[in-house]
Amino acid sequence: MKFKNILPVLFFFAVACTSPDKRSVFDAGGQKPITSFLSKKLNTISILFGNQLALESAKTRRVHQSGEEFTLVTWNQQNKEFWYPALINGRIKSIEVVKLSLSNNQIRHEYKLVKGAVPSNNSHIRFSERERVDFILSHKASVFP
Amino acid sequence: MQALNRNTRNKIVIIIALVIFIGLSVQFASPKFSNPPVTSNIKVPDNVSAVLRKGCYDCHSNESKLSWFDKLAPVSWIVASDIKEARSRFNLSQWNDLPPADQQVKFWEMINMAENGKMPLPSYLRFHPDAKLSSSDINVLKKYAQRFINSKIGDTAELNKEEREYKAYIISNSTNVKRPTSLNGIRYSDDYKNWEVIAATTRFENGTMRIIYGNDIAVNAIEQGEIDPWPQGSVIVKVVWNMIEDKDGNIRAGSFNNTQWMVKNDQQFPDTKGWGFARFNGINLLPYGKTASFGKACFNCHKLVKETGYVFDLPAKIE
Repeated sequence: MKFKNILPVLFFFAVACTSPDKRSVFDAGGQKPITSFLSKKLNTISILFGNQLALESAKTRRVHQSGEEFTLVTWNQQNKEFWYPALINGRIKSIEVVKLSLSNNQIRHEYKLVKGAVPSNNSHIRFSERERVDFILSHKASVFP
Repeated sequence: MQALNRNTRNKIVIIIALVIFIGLSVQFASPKFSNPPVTSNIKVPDNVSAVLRKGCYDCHSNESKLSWFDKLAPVSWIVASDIKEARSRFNLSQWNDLPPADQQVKFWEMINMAENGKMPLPSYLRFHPDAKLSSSDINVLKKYAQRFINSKIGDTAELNKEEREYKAYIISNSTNVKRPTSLNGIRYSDDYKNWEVIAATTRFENGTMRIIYGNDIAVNAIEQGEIDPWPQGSVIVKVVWNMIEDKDGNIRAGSFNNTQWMVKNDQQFPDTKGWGFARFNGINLLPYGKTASFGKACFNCHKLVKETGYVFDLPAKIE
């Protein structure tokens, strides 16, 4: 093999060896965390994000109104490297979105599963969409002083 | 030729004599070792005690057992300095000098330092290989430490505290007028509430859960993989809540515990690789730390994660 033929190979290894570890930060699309919860049995952690209207309703527990948008992101938990026994969010397991709009003077709930499968209960039975909407809307905001 | 050899031989003899003379002389300047009285030895089962005695007691107790070569200068100077530092971090012979909560924090720190090969110090192990802790030794410590993990299912006191804080929170206008400043100059700001979330962590060992935010500089550094070192101006904020657990193992964020800050500024924080640490406790966000140098204690644990620029909590790598 001529020397010049080796160069692309060497270049590949040089790039492979120096390539930084890229990581992806979850893009909440401008929504803010409302609260967080986890399941020991399913080994998951979730953050409920919301737009300003959703944040306000979760904070004041007023009647839900049109325009509220919620995003519930659930990750599988994994062991935190270098610190036993802490856990950290790993791969995303599911992303669910609930949007509230007005239809014939009634609040309409639009549920969309953006990623993964509809979550199950502790007995691994899948929740219905209605149950998921109720669950997502049931949370009160955590205290952010 | 023979004369030259004799000259060389004489020089060697003189050099050896000089080395012996200096070697003996420095012994007079060697530090005197002392083992202060044992006031409150850590109370643990025998198998746990055996592991601690094997790996920790020579430096982190008042029962240091030194080898003859540890007492010879100049090694003795290094040993004396290491023991002094070790006893100041925690002393297993004066264990009750630490409040119970801090004792648990130190115990987890011991486990993680041992598991990650930082303790016993590699330089110490070179001459004291018997002190090396095996994975089964570390498992003994881990098993013992499970007693510190208490899940308080339906904890009424915590539920009431959370409800009180929540009620106060909803009548506030949620813009924080308080802007406390930590002793090292780090100032609390509500700005983090508009930043991206970079991770969420669970700490069963102290009953807390956290959401971790990064400012634009930090988020960009994470996404580009340029975190060793992190760029100037990176700021990471952890928001910490106490856990509320139900009987089905569902846990939610309860009362507010604290916010923890890491601020990258090489000029301001040269002793901790450019990272400044701050913590603001409770809903009144009271700055933590009695002296401005409290960040060194934070950094002692963050040293474990040198390869991620001294930051523990990051999103999973892209595969």
